[in-house]
Amino acid sequence: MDGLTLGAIYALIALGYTLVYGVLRLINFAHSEIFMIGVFASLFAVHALGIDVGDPAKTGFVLAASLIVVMVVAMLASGVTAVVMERVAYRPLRRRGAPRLAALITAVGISLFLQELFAIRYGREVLGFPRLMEKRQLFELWGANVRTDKVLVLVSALLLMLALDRFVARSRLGRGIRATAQDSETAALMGVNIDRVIMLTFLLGGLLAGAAGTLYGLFFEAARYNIGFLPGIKAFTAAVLGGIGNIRGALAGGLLLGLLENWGSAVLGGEWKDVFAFTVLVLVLMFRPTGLLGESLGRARA
Amino acid sequence: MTSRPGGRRPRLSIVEPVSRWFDRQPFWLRLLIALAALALVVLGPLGLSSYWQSVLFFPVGVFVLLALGLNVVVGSAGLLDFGYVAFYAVGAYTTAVLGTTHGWSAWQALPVAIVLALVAGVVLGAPTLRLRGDYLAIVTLGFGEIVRIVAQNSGSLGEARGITGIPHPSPVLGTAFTLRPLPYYYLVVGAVVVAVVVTVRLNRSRVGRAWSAIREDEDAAEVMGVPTFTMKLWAFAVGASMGGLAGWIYASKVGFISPENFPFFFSVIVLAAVVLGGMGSLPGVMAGGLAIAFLPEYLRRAAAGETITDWLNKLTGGNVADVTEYRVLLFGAALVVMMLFRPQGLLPSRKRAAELTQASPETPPAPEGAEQAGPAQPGTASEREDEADVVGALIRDGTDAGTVLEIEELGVEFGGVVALDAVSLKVRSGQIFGVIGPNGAGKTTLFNCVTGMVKPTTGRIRAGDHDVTGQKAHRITRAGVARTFQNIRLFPDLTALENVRVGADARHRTSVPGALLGGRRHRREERTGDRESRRLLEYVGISARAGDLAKNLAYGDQRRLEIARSLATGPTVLLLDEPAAGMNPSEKRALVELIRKIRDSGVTVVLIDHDMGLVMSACDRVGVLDFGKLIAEGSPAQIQHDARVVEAYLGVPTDAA
Amino acid sequence: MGQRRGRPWRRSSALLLVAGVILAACGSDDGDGGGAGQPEGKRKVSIAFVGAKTGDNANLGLNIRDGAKLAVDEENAKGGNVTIELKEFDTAGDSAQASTIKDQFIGDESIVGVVGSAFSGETKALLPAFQEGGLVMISPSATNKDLPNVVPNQTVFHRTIADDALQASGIAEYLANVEKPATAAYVHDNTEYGKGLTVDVEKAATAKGVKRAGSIEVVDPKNQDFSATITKVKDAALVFYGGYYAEAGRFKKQLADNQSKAKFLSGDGSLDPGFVTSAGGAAAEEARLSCPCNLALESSQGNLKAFYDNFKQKIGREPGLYSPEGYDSTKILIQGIKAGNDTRPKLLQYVENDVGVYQGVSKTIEFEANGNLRSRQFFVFQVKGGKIVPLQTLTVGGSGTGAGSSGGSTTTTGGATTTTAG
Repeated sequence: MDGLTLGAIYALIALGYTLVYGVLRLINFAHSEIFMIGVFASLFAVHALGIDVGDPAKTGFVLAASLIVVMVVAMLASGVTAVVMERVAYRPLRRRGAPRLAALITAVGISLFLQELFAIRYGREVLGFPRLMEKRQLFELWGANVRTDKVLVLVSALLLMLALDRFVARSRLGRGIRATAQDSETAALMGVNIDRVIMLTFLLGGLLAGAAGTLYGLFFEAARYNIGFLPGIKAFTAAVLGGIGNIRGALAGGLLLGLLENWGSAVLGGEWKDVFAFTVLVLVLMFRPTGLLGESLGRARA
Repeated sequence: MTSRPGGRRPRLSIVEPVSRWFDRQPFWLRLLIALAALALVVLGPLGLSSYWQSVLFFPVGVFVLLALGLNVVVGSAGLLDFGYVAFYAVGAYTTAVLGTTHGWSAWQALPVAIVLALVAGVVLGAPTLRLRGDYLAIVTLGFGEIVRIVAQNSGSLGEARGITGIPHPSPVLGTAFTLRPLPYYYLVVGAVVVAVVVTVRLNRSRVGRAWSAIREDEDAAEVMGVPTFTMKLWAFAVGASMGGLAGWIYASKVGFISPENFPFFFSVIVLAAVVLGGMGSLPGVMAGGLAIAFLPEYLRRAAAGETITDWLNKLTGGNVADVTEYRVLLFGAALVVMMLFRPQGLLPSRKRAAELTQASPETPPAPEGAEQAGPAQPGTASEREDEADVVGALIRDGTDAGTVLEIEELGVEFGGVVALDAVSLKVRSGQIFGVIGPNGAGKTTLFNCVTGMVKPTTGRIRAGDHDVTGQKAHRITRAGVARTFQNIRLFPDLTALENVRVGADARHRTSVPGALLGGRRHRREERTGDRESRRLLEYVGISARAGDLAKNLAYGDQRRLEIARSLATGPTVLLLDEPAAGMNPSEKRALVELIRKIRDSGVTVVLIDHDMGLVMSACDRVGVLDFGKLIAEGSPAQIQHDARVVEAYLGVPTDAA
Repeated sequence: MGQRRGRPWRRSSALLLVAGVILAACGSDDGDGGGAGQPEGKRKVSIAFVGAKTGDNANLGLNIRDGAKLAVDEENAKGGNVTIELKEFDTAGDSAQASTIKDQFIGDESIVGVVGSAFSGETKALLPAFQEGGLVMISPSATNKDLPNVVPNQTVFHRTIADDALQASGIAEYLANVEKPATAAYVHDNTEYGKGLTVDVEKAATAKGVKRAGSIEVVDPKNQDFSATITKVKDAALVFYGGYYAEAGRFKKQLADNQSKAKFLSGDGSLDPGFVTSAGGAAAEEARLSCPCNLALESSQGNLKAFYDNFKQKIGREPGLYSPEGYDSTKILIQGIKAGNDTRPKLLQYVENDVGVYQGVSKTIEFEANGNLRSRQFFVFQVKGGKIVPLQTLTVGGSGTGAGSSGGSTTTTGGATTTTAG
């Protein structure tokens, strides 16, 4: 259960990597910072709602309403950051026909910049979240502790992913994304506005990362300037594990990675968790060189 | 990135004019400049405070060395490595363990540290090099983390405690290695010189060309006889050993290492140094290492005072007392800005070509005459051969008569779809054999099978006396089967000459050791390879373009270049996949001439084309594929009147073509 | 995008820029070379602070720095013929960084003594250099038990805090004699500090008859999610966590969220208000935090309270973890300098042989031959109403008789000052 919860958050972040990669063949390393901004935005939104550390947990309508408000704020903050990042840093590079690795270094630079900006502005200490919802145990299932907040995280993450999947599969804009992912030049010839599609993918990735930020904040109740780094790496791993560029691959990879880590630390001990996860990744890639579900975003059918 | 405006890429470089200028200078001046540079590097730090001396050692020197090592992997061979720190760690830990628990001196540990790092490179490489691009990146990332975590959890490696008391190197030439930074700085300078020499030597050898080819188009490289797997492994091994060397120097200077010294972030920073400087360009990579290492240190020490801090505080809304808090932030911003203005890096690589055209700078437009290819080389008797023999001479076990290519019951399935179904063919020596068939009939699959790019499901393929069924593509090429591609697959950023030389290297055997030591075979191969390649360019009629990048050639010339590249591998059978596609009638006529000429020099030609006129006029025999089956085989005349062909393929009376 | 033509200019200017920056940097260096001049008969001697001023653990470094600053300022305010200057060197808490900058203070002959280095890792990296430079150091906070042995026959190393070995026995005695849990689970963060402390505590406590629940568990401090480990330890009566405050707080919170009733005990790494924040307030209540260091709190008494007030007034904030030790370390150096030991060899000789028993604000300080502290005082705190308050002071038993009731021969319950603050 814990593995699934964490995996769902990984998967939400992984979607951002996958979308951008599918369209641009770019590993957006700064995506972890988009997520971090989502966590911070959630924290600020919670404070703005007048909820403070030590306040009693909310229930019922108040809880639902404040959760939605917080999540929307976080999604907007991350989405806007992602779009700005694309406009300011990546688009000029693209215009100049810069090599892919240049974009990668830009991403590293942005990542450092944003982290430090938050570190300087809000300090390097952990900022605690007020408790928004009660963490009540619902029941135990095969030894797994099923708790209200975990269920909420898992369900919202799955719903968001489902929505994205539908959007990419069904809508006109989604078709543009798929077309661009398959062959950007042809798509451009067919009248797809590539710049808009790219912006849209950044926006979508950002929105999901923002939502992941809220869920993360709800679950772990902590925000820190470098909080994005590890989930970012893990989400990227998840994206590759599932087949980068593939929306459902991100979901499968995220959940699988979450479970693997949980299982690995339970069996081998926490210190070997990452070794275990990476070893499985290597093994999977040995036998399925393009990840579990294969690569193409374009071919990710409904 | 996807939408790269073709040819818009800025291709200017400061390295190129400067190095051209440098090459033009008389020897004494070059020597003087080199000595002056060396003197600056050696004597300059003497005047600095010990703080800056120590900064020059670490991070500056170590970063430059690491950037050079990673450049072999990323810049030369184009393999994205996110776990480079692992090799640095292996070198450092080897030194530490040997020095502390086994009582070895630092000098004794040196070779072991390098070799173990190299082995680590091979161990990582062997299973993962089948992956490409970003998959390779993530796996190397995982490897880097695994190495760190293992060190963190292994008692013999000191766990999180790390290892203390690593011995300093014993004195050399009266220089004691203690805690003073300067001797270590010179050690790093020495290591950097070694790394530069190694890289330059390799880049100018078969190995370097193979790396370039892999970077440009891995599949094409393999088919041109490059043992891509071995070569990629070598790239990892060479890069890793430089990382190991850096680890050794670092560990023996600092005397204390712990897993904290080897975080993932370190790999990223070294990669940033390589890209920032300009991948593949040695001065660039060194400048990148320098800049990346130096900038944060500079910002740390920039005592520009409270005004800057105040100003930055206002700008970011932060509230910090010390400007050093801002150094990582400024560093990040600097990376972004640098990439915006110089996406190619600080000192981008000049066209790697220049290294090869140096023998004849500015490649003079060759007039009609034949002999001036390779004017820098002293003429030898073998050079004055007939044109036709240029190709003929390359053929190895050319059998005069008999079957050169024999395909038996060949079948290929892709996930249940039958692409080829029990195809049997014999191609006799000296023929021009045409393969025709509608789109999707399996023609290109047949070529892919024969050249080893696709593994057949059933059946056997023999080339000459060799059974090549299921062999690796480069081995098949070495067995005498070469090909061209339907959609031209040259190495676009290599020159025409380099393209051909990659092909010629299929017949060479020099590997990393030979290239490093400059062995006799290496020199001979370089000489003959260059000569033969130039003559092949002449043979196909594009010697004037030898120094141009392949991607800048005209379409027809690209086709010709691809043929020359294939011929350079010394084939007995040459497979041409739609060589005439997109050509106008006069170009086609010239092509047919060329194909005949090739055939006449003893190379058997198999060609696929849709142009019936061309196939029927040029070929001696023709086979017809339809839905993966060979439905007819015979002389052009027989084929034109074969009922099944007419029915299945042409659909209309034959002379419609 | 038509400005392609400007390129070569831009290129060479970039080069010039790099070159300029390098030259400028190298040039700007000479300020701190030799400052030992003595105009107007007033001598100037420098003490170096070496520790993290930036980075993730900057707060600890700054706590010490401010303690040292207070000591120096007090001294200089008294007048006298020696002016003490505090020179600060930032290691960012990173041993690699420390190695890079060490030549800066080793090479500065005006520096005769060092307060720091703050953390064990950087101290390990620096000790060979300190020894070679004959520069005496007094660390207020490096608790690793191996430190006196990093450099064979070293003389420079001293600390005003007991090492992890003492802390481990202290915690074990506290467990066995005061808490007496039915079972105790042990978790650490796989850092050198956390692991070392936890393994020692477990060994000593088990030897004293505290029943261990399961095996020693490990968490990855970089991860947010400790659920797999928590599942294993949540049914124990008490959980000991060896690690730092941010993760300790997170661990405590997740423990509470998983309906665990286990008591929580942790070492000095968790003794920080950040522990309470990280645990989310309520979950931190009643957690026990121990330390070989002493905290200056509003609820403190005597000298320590005086230090608290003084610090708050002069520095403008509350003293933090290691501030009292930082103050004491600096005071000892100053005392030596005032006694005329204003060169490195003299001051080293003074600290080695002539300090005797020094009554510090944190505790009674007396150095053993290897630089360790002779005092065996040990402090336990608890979280009450969102604040860390003193609970007990123990003297770790020299007699080693182990068993015995609370307040017996091994445990002096030094006034269970459970004053609720605020």
